[in-house]
Amino acid sequence: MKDKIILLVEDSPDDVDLAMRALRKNKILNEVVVAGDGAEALDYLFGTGKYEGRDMSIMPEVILLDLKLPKIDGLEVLKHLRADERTRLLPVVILTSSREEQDVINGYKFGANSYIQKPVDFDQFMEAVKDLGLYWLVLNEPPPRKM
Amino acid sequence: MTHKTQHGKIPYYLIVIFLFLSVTIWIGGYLYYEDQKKEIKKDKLEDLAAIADLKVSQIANWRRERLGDAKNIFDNKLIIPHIQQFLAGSSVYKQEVFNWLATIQKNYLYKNVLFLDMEGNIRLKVIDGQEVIGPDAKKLAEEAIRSKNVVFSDLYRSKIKDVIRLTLAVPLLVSKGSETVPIGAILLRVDPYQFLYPLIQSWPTKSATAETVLFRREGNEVLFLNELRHKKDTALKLRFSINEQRLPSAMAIHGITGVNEAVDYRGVPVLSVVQPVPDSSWFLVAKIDQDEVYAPIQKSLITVTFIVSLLIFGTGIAIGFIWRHQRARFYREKYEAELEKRLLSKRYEYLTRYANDIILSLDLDWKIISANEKAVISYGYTLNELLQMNINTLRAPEARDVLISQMKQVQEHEGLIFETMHQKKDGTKFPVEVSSRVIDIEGKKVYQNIIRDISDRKKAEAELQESEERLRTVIEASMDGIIVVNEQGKIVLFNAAAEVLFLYSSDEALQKPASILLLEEPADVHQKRVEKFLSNGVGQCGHIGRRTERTFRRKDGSKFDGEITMAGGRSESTRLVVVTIHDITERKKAEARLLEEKHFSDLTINSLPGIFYLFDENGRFLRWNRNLETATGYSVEEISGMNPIDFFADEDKLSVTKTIQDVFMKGESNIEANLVSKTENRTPYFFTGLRFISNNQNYLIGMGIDISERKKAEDEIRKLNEELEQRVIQRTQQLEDINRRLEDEIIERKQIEKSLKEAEARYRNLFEQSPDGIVLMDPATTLPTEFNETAHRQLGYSRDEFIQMRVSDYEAIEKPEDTKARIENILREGRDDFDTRHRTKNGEIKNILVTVQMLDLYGKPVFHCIYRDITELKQAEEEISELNAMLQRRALELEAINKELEAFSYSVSHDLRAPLRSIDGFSQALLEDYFEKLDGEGRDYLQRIRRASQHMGQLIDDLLNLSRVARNEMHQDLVDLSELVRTIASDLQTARGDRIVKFIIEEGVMVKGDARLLTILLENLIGNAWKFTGKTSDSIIQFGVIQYEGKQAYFIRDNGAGFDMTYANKLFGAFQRLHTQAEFPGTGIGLAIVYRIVQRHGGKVWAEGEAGKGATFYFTL
Repeated sequence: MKDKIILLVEDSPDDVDLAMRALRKNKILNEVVVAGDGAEALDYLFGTGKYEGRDMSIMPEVILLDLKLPKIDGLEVLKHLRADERTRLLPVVILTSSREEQDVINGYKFGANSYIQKPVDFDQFMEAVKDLGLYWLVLNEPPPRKM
Repeated sequence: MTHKTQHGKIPYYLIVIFLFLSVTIWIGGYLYYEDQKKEIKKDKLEDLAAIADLKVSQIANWRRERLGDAKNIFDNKLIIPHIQQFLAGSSVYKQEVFNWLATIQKNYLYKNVLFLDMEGNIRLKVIDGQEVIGPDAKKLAEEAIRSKNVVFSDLYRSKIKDVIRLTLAVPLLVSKGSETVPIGAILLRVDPYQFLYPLIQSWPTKSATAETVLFRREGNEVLFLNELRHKKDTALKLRFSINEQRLPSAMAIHGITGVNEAVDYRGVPVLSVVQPVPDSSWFLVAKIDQDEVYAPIQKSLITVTFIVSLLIFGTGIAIGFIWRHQRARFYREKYEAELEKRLLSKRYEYLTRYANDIILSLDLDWKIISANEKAVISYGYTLNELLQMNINTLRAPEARDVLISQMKQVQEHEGLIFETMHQKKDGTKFPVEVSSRVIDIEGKKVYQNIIRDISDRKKAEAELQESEERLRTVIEASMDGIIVVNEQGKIVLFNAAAEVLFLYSSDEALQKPASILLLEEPADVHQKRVEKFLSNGVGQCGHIGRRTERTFRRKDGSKFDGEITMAGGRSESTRLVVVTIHDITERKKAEARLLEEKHFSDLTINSLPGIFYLFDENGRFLRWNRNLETATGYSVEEISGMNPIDFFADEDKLSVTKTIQDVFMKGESNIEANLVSKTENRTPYFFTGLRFISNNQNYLIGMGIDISERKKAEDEIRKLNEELEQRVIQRTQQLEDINRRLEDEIIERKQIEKSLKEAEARYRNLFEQSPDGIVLMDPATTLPTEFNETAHRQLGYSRDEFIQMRVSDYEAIEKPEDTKARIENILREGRDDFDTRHRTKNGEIKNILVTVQMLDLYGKPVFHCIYRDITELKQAEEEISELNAMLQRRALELEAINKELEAFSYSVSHDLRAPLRSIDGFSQALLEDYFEKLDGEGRDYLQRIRRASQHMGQLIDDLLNLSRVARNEMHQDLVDLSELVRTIASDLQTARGDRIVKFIIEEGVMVKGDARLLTILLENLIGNAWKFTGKTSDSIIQFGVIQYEGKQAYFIRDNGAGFDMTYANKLFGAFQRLHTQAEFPGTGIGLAIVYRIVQRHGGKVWAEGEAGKGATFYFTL
């Protein structure tokens, strides 16, 4: 489980901390790469900009994607991922505050694998993160790696 | 086949055939063998000659090649200076010359190549193995140098080394002025074992003994040059004297070349071919053992001998077989002849013994020597008695005298048939027919007599004669002429009556053709007729033909009619026709008279003017005249099958029948009735009828006369009368009609006048009272001819002013030419509608809708124009469109606001919650991580912070839901509320398994509404009920329908906490709560959402309740 990277795309440092806390508390000790906005997330995934020259054979096991992001929003990021052969099959879990139906529909329409609304109650959030980790990092059979 | 060849010996001719065939086969075999032999020998010799030629040319070639090599060296002037340099002592050139020689040795496959100087010393040598120069070689070099030309040695055996060599010596010459000077020689030495001997020894075909031998003459000897096939180590060693005549090599020396039979060096006979090798002293012999050559011939000889022997053996067998077969046939034939003979004698014996005739054999003295059984029976003597008797004693005494002469005749003619009388032992005489014949039995002459008792025949003959006599009497006595004609048509019998009829005597008629008796019948035609009669079966014996009438001719040429009957008959050999002729002249005359009378009566009947008829009591027509046929149109056949009644129509049938009955009863009657023809035409007739009795039969005879003319006249008179009456009636009626119509017209006209007046009044009223201006206008001048009040009022003119105004005077927008064009258009089209504007007297502009209809009044076109003032209408329209535009603007604004609201909601949803999450999350973190450092109060505060933030999160969610409910679009579906309630209830029960709540759900409640919104509505109401029954034991939640103000009202009822009705009006406001968070947690949005959803469906929602006694929430949709 160690070598499975989680990519967390989240602009709010509070939320990052809380998410990290929830992961740790749930004994999910995988490496977590945090991207502060959509552009950074894409840079990481395609090895551009800040991440130029990154070992591209390493890809996150699951991407936790917020929708409301600076520069490039979550849905845009999702569209990019699904359009590119390299990232087309990566599991993407939308993790957002929004409960707007339109967001849920769009999230699934553009190929999200799950949609989780971040509850205000941290206990509930913990539960959600626990289920997420169990499912995506343990139970799920990832697509075969090409690289 | 004669008797001599029949006994066992092979017939001579068969032996001859066998010998001839054998010899032929032998000669054939021998010739074939000889031919084969010649052929094989020729083939072999040709092969041999060809091989010899080949070998010779190969050897000669090889020699030429060697000489060519030498010549190449001889002609190579370039090497000479090098050699000179080498001779002068240059070691460089030595190497070069050596290389050159090595090339020659290697390229041309010489055993070795030597360079000798003038002194005969070997200066350079390229050798294959050890090589020493011997005296022979030296001599050759010297010879070459001396002759200044290439010398080709013969095969020789080296004197130093015991090897066979062939050497070419090439002098090397240097040109000095016109002369050439030798400076040395090159020896090219050949080992014959290397190439030459294998060449000679190889044989191109497979053979056990064939070989080629090369030799030359040395003195009186022949020296074999090569190694032989059948003897080893012969090269340059084996010698024979040239006197060995039969040796092929010796023969060659003696000039005998070509193909020969000879004996070779082993003394074996061979076939050989000898050829000299050109440009050399060599001869070549190609030879092969005769045994090998003739081996196939030998084989062929054996084969031929075998086949010949086989053929001869086969021939022998075949001939033997033929002989045996012939012998067998001879014996069989002989046996069969014997058998036949025995059978014949047996048959003869049988025949004589049991023959129906008496058979007697007599010797020449007429003594009986044999007699059969019949003889014993016939004569009554025993056989022994008969054998003692003379034939004469068997004869009746009166017949005995002629015996001698008869027997003489028998002898003369060797046989005779005669009749005589014989006598039995008891003296009875009987006539016999004797067939006597002289035959030769084993050299003895015997009379063979076959004697037949002919007493029966004689009797029959006598009876026949008598019968014939009787027949003749009958024939002669017949009143009818009887004539018998034979197959040829000739008369063979002509009786007395025939004589009377035809005036011929019997003698005259006999044997004459019967055709003489017939009128107009040539003999040949008659002959054919007779044949046909006899052959077609009609003329069979005993058949009596039909009676026919014919005309006959007498001897004097006069004619008479006769009835003739023919029958077939038969005498012994020919068929006959028996003809009976009966004179019918008198009968004919009577018939003719009858016919005449009938004709007369027919004429009479037909000449009657009307129709004539005669029918019997059964109504069967017997006579009628032609008039009946023409009048009725029926044919003769039809009438004869009809009943008199059939000629009448149904209505007449009864009276006609009665009239007919009257005739038969009273003897006379008549009637008028319509005769109906075949084509259904009816003609009035007057029919008479008289009874006529003949042969005790009643008949009706009468006439019918056409009375249609009379009838017609009667009818016409009647018709005229009727017509007259009719006309009087008609006229009266017409007059009455006219009167009535006049009255009607008067009434109608009055009514029309009245309605016209009314219409006029109505129109006038309409015209005057119309809110529109109505103007009747002359299109030529556009001046009004008539107009109502509104017409001038609405333009502000008085009647007197308006009457003088043309259209152009008040038209505000159209130019006069436009108006003119419009008027022309209306004249064409008949009508027009258009909007325009008119100017009032005080200059105001009015919108006018003009409707023009062209009328035709008193032959002149008039425009009926309606001017409707639509100024106000126009203004109203403009106002409406302005209002519409404003509404549209509002709608757009609202849409924008909605959008903003949505954005706001979204922002709230996302951004407002985030900080709350932080507050809650970090509070929790504090509680966990710094638990020890916090006292009870601190922890309590943190818990409160957490609760508050979570509550706020809930508030935000509910608010968003509320706004969503308000915003979202509605979809009208048919929704099963009962089903929804059931689903929500079961979800709640699943989520909160710790609670026991009883649900009472009314089934099948269907409504029209938005399924999603209704789900939210019920979720809230049921959720509330669930929440507020949380502290009640035996919780019950009920869903049902009641009637409220004529509409369906649905309700959710619970037995929970309930509420005070005082606050009922506050229930549905947002954030309005009737309980504390501690009692029942909540945000106070749920019912606000319910209210909003019901409102959106256009319904009402209200609640009834009592604190502690539960609540009921009703809603309509």
